[in-house]
Amino acid sequence: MDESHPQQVRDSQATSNNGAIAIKRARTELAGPTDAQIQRRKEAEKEYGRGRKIHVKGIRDKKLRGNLKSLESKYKDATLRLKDSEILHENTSGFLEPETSLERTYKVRQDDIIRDVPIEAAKKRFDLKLDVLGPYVCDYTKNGRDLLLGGRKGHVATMDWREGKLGCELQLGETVRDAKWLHNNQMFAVAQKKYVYIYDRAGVEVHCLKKHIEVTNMEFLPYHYLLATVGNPGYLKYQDVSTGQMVIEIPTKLGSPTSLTQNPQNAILHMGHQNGTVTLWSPNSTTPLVKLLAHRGPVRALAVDREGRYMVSTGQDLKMSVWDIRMFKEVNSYFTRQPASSVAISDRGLAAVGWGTSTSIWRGLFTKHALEQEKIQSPYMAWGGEGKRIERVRWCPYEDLLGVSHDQGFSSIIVPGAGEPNFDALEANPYENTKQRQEGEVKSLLNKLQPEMISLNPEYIANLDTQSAEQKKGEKDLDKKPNADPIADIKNRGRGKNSSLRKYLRKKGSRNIVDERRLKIEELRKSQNTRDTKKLKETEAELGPALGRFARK
Amino acid sequence: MPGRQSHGAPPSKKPKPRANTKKRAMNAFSIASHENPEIFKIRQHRLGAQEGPESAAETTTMRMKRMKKESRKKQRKGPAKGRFEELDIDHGSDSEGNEWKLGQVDSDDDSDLDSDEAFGESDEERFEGYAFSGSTDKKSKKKSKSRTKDVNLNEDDEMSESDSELEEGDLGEGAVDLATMLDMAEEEEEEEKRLNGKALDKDLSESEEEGSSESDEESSASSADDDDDETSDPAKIAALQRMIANLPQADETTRPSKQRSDGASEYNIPSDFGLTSKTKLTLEDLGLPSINDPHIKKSLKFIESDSKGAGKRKGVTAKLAVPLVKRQQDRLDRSAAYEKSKETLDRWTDTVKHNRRADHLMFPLPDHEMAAVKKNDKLVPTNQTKPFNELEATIQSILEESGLATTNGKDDEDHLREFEELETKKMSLEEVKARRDQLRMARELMFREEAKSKRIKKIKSRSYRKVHRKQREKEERLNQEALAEGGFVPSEDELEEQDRRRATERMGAKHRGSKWAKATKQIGRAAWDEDARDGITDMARRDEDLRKRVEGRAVRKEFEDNSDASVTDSEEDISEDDDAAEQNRLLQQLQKASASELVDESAPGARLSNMKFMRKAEEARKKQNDAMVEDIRRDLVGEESGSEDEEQGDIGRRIFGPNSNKPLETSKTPKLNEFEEREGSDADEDNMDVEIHGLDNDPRNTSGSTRKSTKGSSKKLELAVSRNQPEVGSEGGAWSKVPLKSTVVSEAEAKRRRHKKNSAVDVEELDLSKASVIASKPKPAQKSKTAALEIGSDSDESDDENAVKLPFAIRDQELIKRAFAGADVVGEFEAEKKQTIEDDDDKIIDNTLPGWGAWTGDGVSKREKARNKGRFLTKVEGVKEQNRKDAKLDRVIISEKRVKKNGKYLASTLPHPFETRQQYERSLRVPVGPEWTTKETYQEATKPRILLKQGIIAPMSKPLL
Repeated sequence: MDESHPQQVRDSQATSNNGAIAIKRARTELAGPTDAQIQRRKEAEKEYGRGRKIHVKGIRDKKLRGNLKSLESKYKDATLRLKDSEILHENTSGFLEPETSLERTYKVRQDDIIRDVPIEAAKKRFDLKLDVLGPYVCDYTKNGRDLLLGGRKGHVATMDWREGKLGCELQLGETVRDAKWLHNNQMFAVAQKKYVYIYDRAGVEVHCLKKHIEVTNMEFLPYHYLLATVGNPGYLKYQDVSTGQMVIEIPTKLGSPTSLTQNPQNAILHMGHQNGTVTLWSPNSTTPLVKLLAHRGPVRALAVDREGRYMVSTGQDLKMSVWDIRMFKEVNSYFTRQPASSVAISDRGLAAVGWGTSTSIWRGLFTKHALEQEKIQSPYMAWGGEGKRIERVRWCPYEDLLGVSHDQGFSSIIVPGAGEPNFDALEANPYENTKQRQEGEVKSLLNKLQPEMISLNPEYIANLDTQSAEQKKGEKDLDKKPNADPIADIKNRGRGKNSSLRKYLRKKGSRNIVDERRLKIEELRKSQNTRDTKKLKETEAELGPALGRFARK
Repeated sequence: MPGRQSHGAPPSKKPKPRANTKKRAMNAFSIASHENPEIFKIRQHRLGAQEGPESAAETTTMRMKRMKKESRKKQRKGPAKGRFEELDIDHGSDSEGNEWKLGQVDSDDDSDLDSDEAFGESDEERFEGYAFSGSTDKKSKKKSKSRTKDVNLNEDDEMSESDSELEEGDLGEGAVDLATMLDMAEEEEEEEKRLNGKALDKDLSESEEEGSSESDEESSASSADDDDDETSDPAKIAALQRMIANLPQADETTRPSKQRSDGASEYNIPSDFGLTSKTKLTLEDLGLPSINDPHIKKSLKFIESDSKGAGKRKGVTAKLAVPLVKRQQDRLDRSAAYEKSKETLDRWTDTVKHNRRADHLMFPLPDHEMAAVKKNDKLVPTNQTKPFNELEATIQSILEESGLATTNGKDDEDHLREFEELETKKMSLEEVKARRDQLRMARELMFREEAKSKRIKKIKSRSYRKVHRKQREKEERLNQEALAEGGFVPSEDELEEQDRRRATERMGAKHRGSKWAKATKQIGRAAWDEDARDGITDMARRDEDLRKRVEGRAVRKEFEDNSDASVTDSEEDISEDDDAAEQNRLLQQLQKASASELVDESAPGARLSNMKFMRKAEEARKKQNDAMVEDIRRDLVGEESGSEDEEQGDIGRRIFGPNSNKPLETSKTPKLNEFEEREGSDADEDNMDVEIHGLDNDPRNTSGSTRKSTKGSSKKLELAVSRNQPEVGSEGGAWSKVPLKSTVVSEAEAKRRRHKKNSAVDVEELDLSKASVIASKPKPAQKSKTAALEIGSDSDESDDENAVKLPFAIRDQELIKRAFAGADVVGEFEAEKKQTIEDDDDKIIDNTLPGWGAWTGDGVSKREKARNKGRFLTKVEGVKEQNRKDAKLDRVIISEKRVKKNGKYLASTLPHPFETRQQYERSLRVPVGPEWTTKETYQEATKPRILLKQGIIAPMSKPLL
């Protein structure tokens, strides 16, 4: 808006200077709205655009040109409409703003905030004192409604933090290294002393994942229904929690990992290691996709922002570095006074760093459209210093809340401007009821993405394969059986009582798995049946009405 | 065509050069038919092979003599001789004219001809007419034979081209009209005479010549390419033949005619046997020599006249032209039909294209739907034609009587409209639009004059009223003055009358105590209703007037016409001296009214208006208007002639102003000049306005004067000024300087500044954090970035810089450095990267097998081994170091391996319509899901192409576009 206005002013000046006014007037009248429109279009493109336009004019094929033209207009319309629909975002976010230059926002204490915010908001600030069962880890569900706490010494509890209702409480009696919610608040996984267990909402043990041994870090990929764990042996394992299948076990060969996080944009796992490297993993390759040297000591914590553009890592070397993980360039690096044990990035780009007994919250570590990221001098907010060693910090989705779990329990602190103010109920609804939750679960299961779709560039699906013919030839599996018929073995074995088809139907026919093979087999069976009945009828006709009944079936 | 060719040779050429060429041209068809060898042979046999040579010899006796001479001459000539001799051998048996034969064979390459065949068909044709002394009987026999054959042939022909024949001849194929027969008889007589005159011993070739020339003459006389002639000829001939047949004695006499007939037969459609196909049956043939029935006679007469006319009248084809062959005709018909159908179908192309390209189609198609809707939403009486009950009937009858309704319930206009609607339904949208525009234009032109006259009338009435009112007032005043002078005091009656007048005024007017005024006051209507507000001001003014009146003071205008209230309201305040201006305005209006008569010739509807009667009517009307204008003007001018003088002086000067673009007008009506100036003055006022605005602008943006600007532009300038004002005001404020600066700075500069990190855009943010610390901010940021992992002075420097704020951190840094000194993380990483680069790079593999083509094992020297080593090398392409994604990233290793599992979701080839990868991939990125787009977009994207709604899907009745 600032840019457009002066332009208009300049225009008007030009018109008053010129003699040719009639024309000018017509132009400005036309140009006025278009300027604004252009501005708006640019903004929309910046925010909701989907890549660069293609030049339509150069296309020779008339039909294609027409189609692509309409396509471009569709893109444009879509972005503009999204921009227009911003008007429906009823809530806006706001940060703490200093009144004078001498004021520092990080000096604002929680008490001050509580005093100034509405009672309902103030209620969200709470502390749980759980000082016996050791440092706690915490996790919020996707919609931010439920909280999972796991104490090192075997105390696991879930709760609806808003209402202060306890979901379940478990005393496992063995080490709990990590705890994670699965796709909704109905199930959660706990990495215990030896195995990973899955519990349901009521705390009943549902599964024991015996393949996941001595797991230290877990991540759940919500769109792929994959539970990824990595333990002391350094094996990264992906388990599909919807089908129960182990997708892949990848040896990292880098020893016990020190941290693990996921990139919410492309479901790539970022793993921090003892030697200061961060490796990026997907279930489709046995070697890391990217390996970058972020720190000189062990990487203590990792976090990736919602849009998958920036990664913040903290290391034992008292450094916090911000990486642009699309360019794989380090944007900035900061000092921490103690090795930071946990990092989390909120939906609005605030980074919470838990170090020692305190937590500092940084604002503007990275800005999306800036050409060069500026280095922030002081944190936005700070909390702690009360002798509570911070174990983990997690942002509560759709709330201006930061959950800090420490050795004395759990604290929920208010951080203005942290959460996404407008939630998308199709994506995650903080106020969902049971029915909605159930429907959402079914929908998300139907929309489940395959593990093969995980890639650094999540938009690669259906793109053109740029592989050369030679490469394709080289990749071809020469030992592969040519065009294996799924029912070849069934067809080959003849008729009779123990025909392969009958055997199959006897053994596996009742199973409720409908795949291509099954369909083909059923078709085969049908055709056989019709053939048999036809034959029977023929023989009956041949034998005549009297003897027909003796025809062999 | 051997025979013909031979006769075309020099000897026969001489006597008849003209006829020959002509014939050749004409009878190409017959010649072609004669060429058929098989049929030719058959014919010869039928004619009798044994008599062939003799007859041939006989027939050619006369000719021979001449030919002999000529051929001998030829023989003397060298070159042709040898060939002739060869041919001589062939026909050596022939007793007589071998030389004569030579000529014939010369043209014909076929040397196997028998002597019978040597006398070719064409020869026969030629010599048919000749009477040979010995062969008359045979000839006649042959004749009869050929005739019978003819008849047969005709039947055949009828089968093939029955239509055309039937059309042509009224009496059928073989028939000959009576008239022609009679004609023939005459001709034959002539012939007879001639033949009698010429003896048989006379040179027959001459006679033949004559005959042929005669026939030629005849054919040339009747238009050469006239088919009728040709067709009529054989008919005549046939008739003649029959006549001859009837005449027993005239054997010889028939021959010439016969010959002629055959000569003429060349024009006919040839039959396989070289016989005429056009011989027609006569009445005589049918055994009806005389016809008694008058009707038939009549028809025969008609036919006769027809045929005669064909023969005699040139150019005028009494008979219909010969229709084309059916196939040809059909082809023409088809092509014409195709053109027509194409034309009609072309109207659909736009519609079809549109529908094909449409993103969505909805069935039933919208036009039908619209029609249905139209039908449904009208409430129409159940029975339109007849009144429903008695009452309706009576009303209807009354209406009809009074002429308010027509008998059918529809008047003529309705009918017209209906018809038009029907018409338009048939037309496409564009046509309808064009037509409507045209009509509109025409109407516009038609009513222009009318509108003008109305306007003039209005002006007239106003001015009239004004003038008359003034006069009346003047008179009254004078009267009163006179009375006052005379010492008359207004009587009671007069006073009462005045009071009464006042009272009526109060009654009619809106006054303070009225209901209306109270209501408006109560509601506060004046606040939002402009009419009400006007009314209130009006009321106030009236009130004052009345009060004045009550007090006895003179009010300027006493009487107001209620109908003219709206006009006079505004005029009331105008003082006496303003009246002149008012007058001028009126005159101006008149001027304008008379001036606005431009008819755009190029306009689409101008044609109609340019028609004579239209022009006449218009002219008449215009004259009337002009006269009226003139009248009014005279009135006005006549009244205030005195004051006009000064203004007239102005005229000459002002005419060159911006509005002097009506020289034609001025020449027509010289009086108009004085009004021109008014307009000019009006424009001047506008200019004044502009100037004022310009002055307003001047101090601020020193813009040039804009005197030339029109009224519209002045408005715009005002806008500009208003836009400028905030800017000017803001210049004073200190804090707003920054954005102002940014506006001045060009975009490029701004970009550069942004790079430097002190752009105007960032100012706000900087303001928050405030001050000097930030000024040096970019530097440490960059340095610390590099410093973070590099051991050396750089990091120290950065530490130093941060030392001010983070003394703690420094000490820690030192410690950390020491703590992590043991593990050379960076070194390890670099080594790893190097290793991966090597692994991924191109590789050369040695495929040499030890002992394959060389000795191996113990006792082979190292040199040998080394020599054998690199014999079979293969290069495996990898990723070169400079091509790696992480080539420029020092602390990153990006795997260059292809992720095979991802390949499952890749397209192997570029799908068809796309030309480049970018186009294809762009087409995939359209947001479809409801999660990423608005509902509208989503629904649009997922809307099916064809929507079916309940209803009958009828085909389109007419093109939509």
